[in-house]
Amino acid sequence: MGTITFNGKEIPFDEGDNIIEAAKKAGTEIPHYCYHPGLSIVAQCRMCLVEIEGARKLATACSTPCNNGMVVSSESPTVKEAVSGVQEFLLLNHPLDCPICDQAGECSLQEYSLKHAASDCRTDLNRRTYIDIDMGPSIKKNMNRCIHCTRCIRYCNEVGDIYEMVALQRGNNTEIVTVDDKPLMTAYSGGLADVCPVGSLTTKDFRFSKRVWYLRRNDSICDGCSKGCNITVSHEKNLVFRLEPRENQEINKWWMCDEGRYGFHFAQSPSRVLAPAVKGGGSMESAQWSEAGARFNDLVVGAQSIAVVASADITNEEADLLKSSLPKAELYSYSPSVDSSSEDKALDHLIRRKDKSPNLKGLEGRGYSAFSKFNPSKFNLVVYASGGKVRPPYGIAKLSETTVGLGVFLKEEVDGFDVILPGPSWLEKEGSFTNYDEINQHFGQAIRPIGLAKPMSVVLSKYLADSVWQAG
Amino acid sequence: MKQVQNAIDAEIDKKKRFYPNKEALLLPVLHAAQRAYGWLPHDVMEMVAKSLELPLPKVKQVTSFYTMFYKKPVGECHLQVCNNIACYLRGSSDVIHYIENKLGILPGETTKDGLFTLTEVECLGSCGTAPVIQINDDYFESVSRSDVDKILEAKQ
Ligand code: SF4
Ligand code: SF4
Ligand code: FES
Repeated sequence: MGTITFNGKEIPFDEGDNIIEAAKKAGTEIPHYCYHPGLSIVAQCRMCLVEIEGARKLATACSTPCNNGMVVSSESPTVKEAVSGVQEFLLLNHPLDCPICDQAGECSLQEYSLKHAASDCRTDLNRRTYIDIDMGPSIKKNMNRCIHCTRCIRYCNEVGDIYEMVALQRGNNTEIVTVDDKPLMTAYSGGLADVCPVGSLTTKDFRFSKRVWYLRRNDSICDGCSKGCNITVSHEKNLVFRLEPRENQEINKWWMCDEGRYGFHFAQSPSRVLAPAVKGGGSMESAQWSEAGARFNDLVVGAQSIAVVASADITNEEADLLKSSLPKAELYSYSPSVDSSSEDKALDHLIRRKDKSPNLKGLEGRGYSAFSKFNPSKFNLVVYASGGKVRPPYGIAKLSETTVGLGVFLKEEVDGFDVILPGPSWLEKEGSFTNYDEINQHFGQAIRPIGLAKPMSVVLSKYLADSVWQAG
Repeated sequence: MKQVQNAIDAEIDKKKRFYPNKEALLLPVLHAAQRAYGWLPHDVMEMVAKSLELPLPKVKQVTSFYTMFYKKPVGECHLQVCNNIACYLRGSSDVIHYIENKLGILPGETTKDGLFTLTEVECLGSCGTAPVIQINDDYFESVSRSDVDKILEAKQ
């Protein structure tokens, strides 16, 4: 702890903070490209130049640790001139094709050009031009826009643990490539689009699907595994367009994996069941909520023995609710990759976990037993609750006399069910998950339930007769 | 290839203790490999990468940065003509054109007999005696057309 004087104001800094971080905490952004708090520091873009009293030359704020009593300016005329010069150099080769660039609206180059550079161009030199190139399953590269910050290379080495991405040649000819055109095979490739400060690296999944200024953002938690990475959901008109990691030093730092990043598509897939359905003459038929709800109630009232089997992706609140509204039921949890959380383990050096469900710990804590203990022949009625991405075990509905599906199902899964009551996926509701480390994380609702899906609380309170609730 | 591996191993043995890490040691080892083989094809770079336990892409990145590492075979006699500002003002472009015509190759090319390679290089740090040609490891200073004639003749 100590203080520095920054642009005339005294601001505190924490041990180890560089000037960029200290300024950030005080609410000022020092422009930077190559610096990323999660990557090693190389100080090569020179955008973060600041003036330090007593120093002979301008210093790079990213690589200069704060010292007690340091007097720093990011606004002096010398700094302004230098930074605008750096920016001008970076634009020498830039195509300025913002109108057709996917990064526009969240591009550091665009923002800093506006804030820190002259508005005119003093050269009419030709720009380097390259064609767009596929870099493996997830990333597309547009080399024309690259400013050679090398964040992507460091990201691959330090986060993705791969070494394929390199900068070949030097100076003006520097080109970011994968050696011998190898595809980028890492479970974290989507993050390249996050760390690239310009529109050079974009995810194929999101590119050209939406102008970012139309997107609304909500904080949420990934439901892809027991890690519980913190994320931001970008959506418009009740459609989700992308997930991005949100910093949480305790859990995922700045990162998330590809599986989690692209995993939201199932919730918007055309095969999701979005209206209630009941078993007709053999197959499932769409029904009114009132009809399906009444059928559900009849089954519950008539059943001698009930089991609730819940995918370990329902929220803690839903788990509590099921327990209290079906007091006679035995409770089981289901995760596709592990039977109990004791089998869970880290899948790699970074964040991915073996347990591909977000809330097994939460369900276990609420008295839900392991799926291996579930004996379907013991029960007349199974209520299968699905919260989202975890797919129910194949053929689960055929194992017992009658089965009710509550939550998220795909058309190909409903065979054998007696009633399906569609519910919201995790993006369409609020609640909490408990991660492998027993960290309980609350998340808000990003979009409204899709189709005719209804929250579990509404379904249980509206359609189950009072006598059922009071039975316990 | 055996010789190249030996050269690499010998260099690592000799220089290891002077360099803080493998990344730093890479440069002298690449030089040694190039001296042994003449240039640096994929296989040689792979050998270097394995010997130093570095990822191959890292090695390729470094060799691509330095023009002194040859990614194509070069002739026995490598004519590196400086065309930076001092040499340029003292007529290096004329020297280059003269060599081009004489050998029938352009900068970056090698004669069919594999004897000569012509390369245009940046400052050789000998501006006081511009224009300068570096042939393999030797400097030829203040060169004129007739000097070029003499040099080429001697090498043929
Ligand atoms: S591709 Fe993006 S992250 Fe990589 S060096 Fe270029 S600008 Fe930086
Ligand atoms: S590691 Fe797990 S929680 Fe994190 S993004 Fe991947 S799937 Fe989601
Ligand atoms: S951010 Fe400091 S030099 Fe790039």
